[in-house]
Amino acid sequence: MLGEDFVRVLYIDLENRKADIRERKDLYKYLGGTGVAAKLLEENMKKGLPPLHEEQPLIISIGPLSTIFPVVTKAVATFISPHTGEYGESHAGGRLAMAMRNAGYDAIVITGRAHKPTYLLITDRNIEFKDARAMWGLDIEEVGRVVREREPGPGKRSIIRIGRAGENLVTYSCVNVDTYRHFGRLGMGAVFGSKNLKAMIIMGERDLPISNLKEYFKTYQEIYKKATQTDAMAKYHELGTPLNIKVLNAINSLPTKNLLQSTFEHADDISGERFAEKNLIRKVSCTGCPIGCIHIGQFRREFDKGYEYESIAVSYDHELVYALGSLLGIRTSDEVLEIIEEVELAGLDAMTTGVVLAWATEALQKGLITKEDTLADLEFGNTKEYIKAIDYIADRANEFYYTIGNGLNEAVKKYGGQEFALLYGGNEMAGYHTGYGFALGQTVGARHSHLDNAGYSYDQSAKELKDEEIVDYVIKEEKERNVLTSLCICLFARKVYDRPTILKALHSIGIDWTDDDLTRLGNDIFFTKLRIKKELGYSLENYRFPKRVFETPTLWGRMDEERLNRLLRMYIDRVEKEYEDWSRGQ
Amino acid sequence: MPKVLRADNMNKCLGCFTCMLTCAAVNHNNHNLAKSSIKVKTRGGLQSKFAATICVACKEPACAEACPTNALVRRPGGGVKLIRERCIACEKCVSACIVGSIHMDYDRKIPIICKHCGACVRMCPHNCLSMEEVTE
Amino acid sequence: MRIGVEVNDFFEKYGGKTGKFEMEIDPGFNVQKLLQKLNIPQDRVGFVIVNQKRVDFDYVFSEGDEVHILPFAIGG
Repeated sequence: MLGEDFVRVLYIDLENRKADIRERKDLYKYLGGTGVAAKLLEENMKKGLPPLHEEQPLIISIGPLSTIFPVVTKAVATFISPHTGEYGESHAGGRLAMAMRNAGYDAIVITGRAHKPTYLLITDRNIEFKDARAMWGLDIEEVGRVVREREPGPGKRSIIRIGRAGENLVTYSCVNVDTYRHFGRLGMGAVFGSKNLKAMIIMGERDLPISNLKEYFKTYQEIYKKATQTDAMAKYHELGTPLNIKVLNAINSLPTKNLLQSTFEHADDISGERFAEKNLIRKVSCTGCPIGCIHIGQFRREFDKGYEYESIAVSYDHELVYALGSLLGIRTSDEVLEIIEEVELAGLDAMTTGVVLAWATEALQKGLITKEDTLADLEFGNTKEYIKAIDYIADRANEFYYTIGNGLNEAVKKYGGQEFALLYGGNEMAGYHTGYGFALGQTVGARHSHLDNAGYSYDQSAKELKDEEIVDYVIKEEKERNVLTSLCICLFARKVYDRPTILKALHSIGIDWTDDDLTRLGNDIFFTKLRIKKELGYSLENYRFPKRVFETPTLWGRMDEERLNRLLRMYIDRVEKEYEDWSRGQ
Repeated sequence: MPKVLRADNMNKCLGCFTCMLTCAAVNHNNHNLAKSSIKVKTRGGLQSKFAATICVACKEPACAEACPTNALVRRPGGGVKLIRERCIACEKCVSACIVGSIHMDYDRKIPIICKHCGACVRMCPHNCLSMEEVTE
Repeated sequence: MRIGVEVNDFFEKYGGKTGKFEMEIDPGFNVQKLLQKLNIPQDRVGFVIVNQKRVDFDYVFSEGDEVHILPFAIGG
């Protein structure tokens, strides 16, 4: 809590329709974000029960710098992932952090299951459990509109909600945050669904006086200047992350057609440059970010003969253009946007959806499944059929779609095709086939996200590959990113927020931490998450990488399976040893 | 020459709310952007354009006319200045302002009045806002 | 001699030429000199690809080389 030495936690019990606020001094040393959310998950989770059991908690946390410093925009959610069965963590921008800040809650813990579909109204003054029965079944856009029109506070509120996929407990359903952002990965949408929770609206007018305006605003301006006037962040605003498409394509790193290829003959047609030329209509920001990286693209669709058109605008970025573009062999930017729209309305994680469909396309070609299973003629490049399949996933239309609605790990148990199921550490692959750093990084990362430790970045900047160095990088980077995400700093601003800047910002609002304190924090969070994972039965022993990732060239040529396995072994051994030392010290 | 705030380029707005965070901090010593005088909103849902509700610097300010205690006095160039000691928090100015630029700070029991100080203009990353020189 | 050059749009802001074009160069001309000539700051360059292979800044061009200059891909 600003100006206080505690974390103010709102506990919501959906079962008994009760709310409680506790001021937790003991959590203060974890700052906020990923640190506080991981601790709150650890103390509230029920390890013997399934991930979607009503007693399992869902946590959302912000940090001390949230909203009041430039580009500190994220909220961090933790839960037990229905997708992997272990530690679930997901981050989202939008207005959520601002709304929690203004309502006066540093963290929210939700447990229980509402007796009927419910949406929550959370303000600084009250918590209301509201009837959402009529909203059940509505898509992301409609439920947003209904809540928006029913509730007060335009401009200063955040509305987060699920679509059909979340209601139907698809293990990679997302929670949509303020239309353009998402808690995308690891199935937080299904956690909402399992709690009969359709949406949450958060806002507040809590008085938040500034303790030392002069120092605070001076620091604020310095960071603002760094973020806007150096080119540290310009690329995120200009073309945005889809700048990657042409780059990755030129260096054999753009996963294409279920990674049968790592270059795409139509890369230019779905490149950031092409989107900017043909589709880009505006850019928007998360609250408190002067950069504006959210790119909105528009396409028009003929819905009837006689020049009948509708225009549709959705947000796009690299991961979406990869997963719902190159990986499915989609040849135009318009078509990529059309697929994105379907995924958005259904409330699915774009990355996993793309990877699952790419696998299904190849499985159908190879005869592991039939048209009776898929109902749609899945083939690379066929947009119309993919759009049908996305609906079938969200609706769990038949036994096949029910199965793939639990992700590729479950799909391959039933249908085979493990060797071309693009999974790293149980989660579907992100869009960087750059080499060992990425492959190891996503596999070992606490939330199996490419952003846990940015292995793709190592692969690109390394002059030569050294095993020790790769393992070292992945561990160090993840610990450092724990510091950033405990403060809820957008990772795009990691170069703006170096250690001295972080310390200065904290100091200006009365938090006197040292560099060593931050190092300790990053380390503690790293091993706290590992402890949670172990409690939930997670292990990388006997882990097998899919064959496909070794067959297709990366930036560093074809990866050698033995070498990647050796890297994984080295990682496990080193982390286990460090974990023992850390546990003894606790 | 006096200057007044204009929001003529809102088509460029990213919706980052830095203007509001700045106004709330600099003028009201508060981290909650609900205390900001400038208010950025969408025209309805995030898919619509952004709009800014600002004090339009009336030459004949209705808010001042409505004020029973003369707490709002005309400022050179348009708009008003709040004389805090005179304010009785009757909220008449709030309803008198037809563009909706005045709202209450219930914690301090005063209306939030734009000073046309230009802090929001300086911190806008996309040049949506400007200060315009006007006659007295 | 002539080489084919493709400069990613990312470098447009540095004022040099972007897109695909051909260039006449002297023997001994290397990547570093090319970047200088195109006004591209070396520390902003992620990859220099010549005939589909990644090369270093000291690579010396041969007749008919196809060179592609790109930034690093970023996290998304």
